[in-house]
Amino acid sequence: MKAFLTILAAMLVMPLAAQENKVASDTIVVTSPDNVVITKGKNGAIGVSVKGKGGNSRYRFKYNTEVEEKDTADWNLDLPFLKKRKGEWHPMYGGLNSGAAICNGEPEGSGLHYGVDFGITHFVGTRYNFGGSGLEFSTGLGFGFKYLMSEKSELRFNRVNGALTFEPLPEGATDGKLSIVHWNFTMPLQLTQRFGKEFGISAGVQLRYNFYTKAESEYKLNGVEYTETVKHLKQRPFSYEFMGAIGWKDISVYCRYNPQGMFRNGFGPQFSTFSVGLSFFNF
Amino acid sequence: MKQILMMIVALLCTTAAMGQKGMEIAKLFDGRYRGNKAVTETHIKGARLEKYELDEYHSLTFKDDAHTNFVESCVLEDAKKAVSKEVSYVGGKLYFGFYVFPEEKYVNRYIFYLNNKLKNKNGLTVIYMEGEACPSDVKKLLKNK
Repeated sequence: MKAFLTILAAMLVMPLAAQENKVASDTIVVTSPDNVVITKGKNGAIGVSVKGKGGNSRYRFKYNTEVEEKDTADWNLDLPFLKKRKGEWHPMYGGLNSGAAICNGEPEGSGLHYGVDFGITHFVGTRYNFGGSGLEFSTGLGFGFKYLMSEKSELRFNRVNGALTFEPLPEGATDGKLSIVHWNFTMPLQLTQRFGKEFGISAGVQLRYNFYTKAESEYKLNGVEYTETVKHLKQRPFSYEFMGAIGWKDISVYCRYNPQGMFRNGFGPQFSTFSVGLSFFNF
Repeated sequence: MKQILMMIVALLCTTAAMGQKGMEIAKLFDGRYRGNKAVTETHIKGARLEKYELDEYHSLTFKDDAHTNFVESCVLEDAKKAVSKEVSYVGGKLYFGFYVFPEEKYVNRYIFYLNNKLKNKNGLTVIYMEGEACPSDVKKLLKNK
């Protein structure tokens, strides 16, 4: 085979000698070679070896084409993400939420219409993804705080037999204000459906252990400012809030609805709250 | 309410992958092979690809030769715009090709083509991928056993 190629190359090269002056600059023309060897490698590489040129027996030319070895047989199209993935648990830390709280069904004249909602969604938590479908379950332990207030109230708080009650402001009192502070530990049980890497929606329930509630009344009477605090109230120890969120990267807009009152039945006003705000690092 | 809906739609649009927009192979992935038993179409987006820094994976595997010329011509047309390519021909026909396209909005786009029929094996596969993954990672993924 090599001998045949040698002859063939020699036959091809010799007629070119006559046109030596006309060839392009990137072409090497060897006239009257003594010996030409062309080799073909398995990988498609071609080698050309020339000995002697136009009577000069010392002339040597050697050239091998550089062909990158491509192992095309090892393409693996059974890609890992095409296989059914098992679910995985991942830790979660941090997560803040801050927003507005709106009261519904508050006692008439109390002026308790709105407030502030703040929380650490996860001191520590975990999320479980269901095998790459984008669906995740998350839970953890957090902390919550609600501050409900009125700009103007005709009532003030009082405690009667351990229950928080309202009574009219003393006669002549002005600038009445009310506030309720409510503290709790939280445990979110949340399902999140992710769409792509950064967008997701979630829904769930936040279980709450309410450990402290305080109510405060402020008013002015005869030029004196009065602040009356009612502590150690009988709040509902365990409660829940429905929650939903729509998130983008590390920020989400959340809403929560607490259908239950803050206080045990018979120990305070019963009204529901709705919160809406922004949550950070919770997605 | 209308404003909220518009905001959500805008958010969804921003997250939407580029797909094969402006590419010849968009013709292959326009749904024309759905329902064709000789063709397997796989389309994945989202969290499943997150680990691999990809946003979209779209593939077609053809069991027969009926569409080979069309598929090859689409790929070769797109190949003209590739910034990097690795190709192999068998008998003058494209055997495999790995093409990297110009980055757009920090997203890399890739086409992988493999015609195993030319080596007497089953299937012609064309894959479109896009994401932040760099060419070497994508190639590694395709060669990973």
